[in-house]
Amino acid sequence: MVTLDPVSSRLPDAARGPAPSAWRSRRGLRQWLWGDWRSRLATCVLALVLVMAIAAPLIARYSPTAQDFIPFRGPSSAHWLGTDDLGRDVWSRLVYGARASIEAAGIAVCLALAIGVPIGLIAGFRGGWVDAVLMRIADTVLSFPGIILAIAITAVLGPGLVHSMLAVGIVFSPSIARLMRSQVLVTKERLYVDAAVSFGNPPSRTVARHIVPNSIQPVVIQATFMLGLAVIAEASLSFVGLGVQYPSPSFGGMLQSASQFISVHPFGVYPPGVAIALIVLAFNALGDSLRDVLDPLASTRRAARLAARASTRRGHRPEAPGGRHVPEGH
Amino acid sequence: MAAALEVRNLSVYFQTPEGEVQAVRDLSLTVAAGEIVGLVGESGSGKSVTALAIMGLLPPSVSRTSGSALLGDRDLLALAPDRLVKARGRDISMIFQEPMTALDPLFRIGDQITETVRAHHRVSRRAAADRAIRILTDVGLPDPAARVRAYPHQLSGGMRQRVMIAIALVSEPAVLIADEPTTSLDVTVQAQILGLLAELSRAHGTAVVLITHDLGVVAETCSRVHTMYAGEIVEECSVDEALLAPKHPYTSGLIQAIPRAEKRRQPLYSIPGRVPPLTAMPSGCRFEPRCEHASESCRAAQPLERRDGRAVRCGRHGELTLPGAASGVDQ
Repeated sequence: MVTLDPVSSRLPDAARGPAPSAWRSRRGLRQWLWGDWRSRLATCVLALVLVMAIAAPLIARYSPTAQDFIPFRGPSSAHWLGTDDLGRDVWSRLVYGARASIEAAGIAVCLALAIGVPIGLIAGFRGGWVDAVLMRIADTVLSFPGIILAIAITAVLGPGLVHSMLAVGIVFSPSIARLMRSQVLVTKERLYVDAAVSFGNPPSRTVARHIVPNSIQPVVIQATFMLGLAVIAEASLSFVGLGVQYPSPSFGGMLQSASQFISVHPFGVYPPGVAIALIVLAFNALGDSLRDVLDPLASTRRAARLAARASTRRGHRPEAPGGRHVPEGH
Repeated sequence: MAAALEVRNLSVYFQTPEGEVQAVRDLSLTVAAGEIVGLVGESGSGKSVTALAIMGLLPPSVSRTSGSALLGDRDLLALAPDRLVKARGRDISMIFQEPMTALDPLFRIGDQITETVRAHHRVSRRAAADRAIRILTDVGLPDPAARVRAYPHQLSGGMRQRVMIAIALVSEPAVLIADEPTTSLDVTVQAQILGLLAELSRAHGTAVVLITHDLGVVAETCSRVHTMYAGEIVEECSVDEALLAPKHPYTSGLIQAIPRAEKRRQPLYSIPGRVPPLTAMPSGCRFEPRCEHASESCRAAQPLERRDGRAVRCGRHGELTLPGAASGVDQ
């Protein structure tokens, strides 16, 4: 009979390291962040925001709370984006605000994953009454409008960036849990899970090695979209005064004070507003391209749908617009 | 010959909204080391349920088993869950019908083999990887040193089934249950895989339970065959006896349903009707509603009669002469 001797002669690279999977490959990463113009733009925007957030003290030209007592100045060489109602430099506040925004998004999404993934996994894997109880709790949380619930939780915890983001994380967690559960329900019925059990894997390893990796991809994609949502949530809560506390800068707070003086200094709403829009768009674009990388079939289906739509449109106008030469299939 | 696996009076029950139904009734089966035993029957006859019950893979929330499955002196059906986990893969293993979906698509096949090795043996990653390459060589996968790095989608169906066999046999189990291992493969590959199973069984003394609906597969590989119908064993005998002189009308029907070159231009034989639903089993012979030889006496329950090393569950087997593979030709 064959014995398991510890001496190894030929060893493949793959058998040494941990198990690889789709998104760990370098090609997948490049495709995600640099695959087309949208993802490139989004990567650039987020890289910029990240650099601003990390190196805020080096990039900001003034302290975000320093005043020079001339409010509502337009952009100039001294103040690139002008000054706000208290004469503070808007560019400097924007740079520090980016830091708050990224921090907030990170905390909220990490918390949502930390709560949602285990709950969804347990609910989907155990089923029965465990599933019923956990999902009714999730339903209860989902039945509140998100922002109202976040305001309520922040009111209980007390205002502040971390508290408000814990609230947003809690609000986001049921949708993660539901997504994870639905994936686990599908995955646990797969033959390879039964096969893994029949080859002698204990339940814990079957779950960790086969069910979780095969269920997590949509959750990761959803989490990317949630980063964008969390930026909006942070801005909203800071706008109503529950997030980042005065006088620390945040996009929401800046937008709030600028909106009060919109008739005097209409330019003031643009820097924070555009910053929020860009960051959210960037996260969404990266979520999109991540989905294209992880679920190539979905993007093929979408491409087919778009092509079908384009061909019906071409039916009305014989010439394809934009000068792009599209070979006709018929 | 010592029995590697001895299943005694196995019954499997499922909870359904209409109440408890019995999917397998009083099934007994013995496999000796190095022997390949066939379990044949059409879809819904309870073959796969039997396999899953022996492996302990049926969901305990909706199913119940009685009887015993002895592996040496241990009863698989009565083992504590953690002992059962240890027994699976090391003492008894299973390969599945669909090699296309039985491998985890996210992991390289080398990792899936080493996972099983390391589940049962305290060996280093390197030793396990080396073992993976050796077992892949054993199952005839070309270029195994490179193939361990392949993902399942990069392999053909036949290669994947070879990998499945490799994983199932890597820890040298005493018993292998093969649930329709060749159904989704084309005939050439099917013959190769069956040949491989027979060879490995001989070489390692593995007892194999080969589940199939194809008597052709049985004829090629097995020494004995159990015919199963509606959750019961209806006939048990050697393969030659089953093919040449079947005693149960169902076995005979299955043999005649095999397409044969001599019977070209004739309509293909099929047994009329279908397996009765578990909720509406006939109280007497379960095959009676579909049997062309049915008579009044068949309404009574039929015991499995043992004589001369074969067993048959048909009260009329003495008076019937049923067509087998040879007599089927000139029909």
